[in-house]
Amino acid sequence: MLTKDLIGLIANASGLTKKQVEHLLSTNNAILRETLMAGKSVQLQGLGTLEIKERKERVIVHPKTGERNVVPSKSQLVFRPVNNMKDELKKI
Amino acid sequence: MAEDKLSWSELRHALAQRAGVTEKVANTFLNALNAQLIEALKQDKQVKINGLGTFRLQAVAPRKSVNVTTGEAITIEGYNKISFSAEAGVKEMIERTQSKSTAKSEVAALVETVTADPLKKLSEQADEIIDILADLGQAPNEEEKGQVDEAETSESKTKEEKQEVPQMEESAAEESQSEPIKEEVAEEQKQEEPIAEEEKESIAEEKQEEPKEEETAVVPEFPNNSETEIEPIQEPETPEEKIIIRPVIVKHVEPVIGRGVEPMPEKAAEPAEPISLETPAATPTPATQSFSSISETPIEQSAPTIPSTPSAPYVPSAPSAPTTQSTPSMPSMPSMPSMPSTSATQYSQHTQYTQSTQYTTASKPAAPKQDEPKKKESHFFRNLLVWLLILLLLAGAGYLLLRHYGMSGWIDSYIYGTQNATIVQPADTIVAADTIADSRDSIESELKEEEMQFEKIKYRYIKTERMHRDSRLIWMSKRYYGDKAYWPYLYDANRDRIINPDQVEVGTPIRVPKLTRELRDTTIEHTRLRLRALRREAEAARNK
Repeated sequence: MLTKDLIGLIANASGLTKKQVEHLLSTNNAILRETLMAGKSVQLQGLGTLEIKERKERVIVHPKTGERNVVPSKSQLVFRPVNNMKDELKKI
Repeated sequence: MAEDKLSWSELRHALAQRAGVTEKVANTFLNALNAQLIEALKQDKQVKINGLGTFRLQAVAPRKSVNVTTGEAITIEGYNKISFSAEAGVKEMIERTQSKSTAKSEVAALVETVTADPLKKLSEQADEIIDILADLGQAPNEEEKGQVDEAETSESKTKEEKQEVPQMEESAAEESQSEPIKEEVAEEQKQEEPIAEEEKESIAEEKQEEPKEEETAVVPEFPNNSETEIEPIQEPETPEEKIIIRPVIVKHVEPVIGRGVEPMPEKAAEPAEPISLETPAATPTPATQSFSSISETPIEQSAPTIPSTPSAPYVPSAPSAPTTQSTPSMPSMPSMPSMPSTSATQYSQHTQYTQSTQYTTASKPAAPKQDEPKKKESHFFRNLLVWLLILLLLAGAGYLLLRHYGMSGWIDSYIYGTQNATIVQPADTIVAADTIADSRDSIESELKEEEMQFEKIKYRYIKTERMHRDSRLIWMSKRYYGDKAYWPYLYDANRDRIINPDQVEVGTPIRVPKLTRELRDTTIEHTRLRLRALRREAEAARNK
């Protein structure tokens, strides 16, 4: 499902116009990005948490050559769903 | 990070402010967003939100497991898992904002140390091996001689020499430094293995070379300080130390010596040299004995060999009793290491020294002999085997070719081989066989032939075969009828397709006729004549 479809759904459910929803959604995303960028995590009620997790750098060994390399650390945007949501989606 | 969370209310507030709407609207929107997100996930299992990322439902397949307490087999049911992947742009931005410098350097350093370890180990191992070898080399010296101190210095020399030797392979014989090594090595090897006669000759040559060099370099110095033990000592010591090195050196040096020596022999022809030549052969015989027992065993073995050595003068070279030329003294010779101790007295006489040097030189060649014969033999056998194989293969290929094409076919293939069209054997060749039989009644048959008009054979066809590069009418005849002689029938049956029976185009479908017994039976004159006539026609077609 694409953003467009989601906007339609939200508009239907909330009684807002699509334009409004679109505007709100983009603003929402901008806020989320900025907060995440600032190193904060975002709690979405009923959904879960969006947070930035740091993957530590690690050493990998090439199985054939025995060569050792460092995989640099990196940050990832991670979503941790709330248990409710998890359970709800486990079985469809 | 988890500590500073943007709470739901904060988000709502920020959203309302930013979008310029009331918090109520923002609230309804956010609630609707969450609810619809879940709905959308249920529906499509995937929701893409621009500017943020994609939510997905990932199915986890059911798997089997075991109840830990009871040991019963259970299947864990499959379920859906929510996964989120950030948009590419968002990912980049996040990564950019993160500083990775500090932790990274630590791990990198760790890796460097880890990778460095194996290298160190290798180098260390090499050092250890060298040390061990050096120790082994020194041990014998200590036992036989009390002069261990000099051995150490000589070791370093030998090491240097080792390095030099491989480089100098060709010029090794010429350089004075390499000589002692060879001599020593030779001595050691002598003790180990007997020398072949052929090798003896080469040894003799080597001897000649070496004496020259030694005489030029060493001898002049020696007379001046005849009693100095330094020169003799160095030589004996080095040999033992060099023992470690010897396998490598010997291989390289031996061949070189043999080549280089040949031109030299004239110069080498001095009174002492001839003796030395023979003596070396004698010394090598004891070779079977181990290195440690060199001093003792060589004597016994060398004794029998001594008789072969013609000249008594050689004997003086023995370290123990230089003056006495008796054969018993000879055995002591092999034990060169012991020589240094008595070297002062022994080397006092210039002649003796030269002899001893010759001996050593002689012994050098002996050492190479051991390896050389083995090598030569192995090489010889290997080469022999290889050549035999090649010959067999060639013979087999030739046989197959001959059998398949016959000589004439082969020749034809030479003549026409490059052309695209396949070549059928010329009729002549087949005729040749028949002509002998035909020759008796040749006149009659020819007469008859002219008169005879053969009715056209009505063929019934067994099969159609396409000509390919290697097919020949003759061989098809042989294959189908068991005799090459019937190929004219093939031509006859395919006249419409075959213009030249010697060069049938590749791909031409050839009808293979069924031959009646009458057509096959060459004892029937009619058949013979018919075949002949067909051959003639084929020939005529070929000559067109």
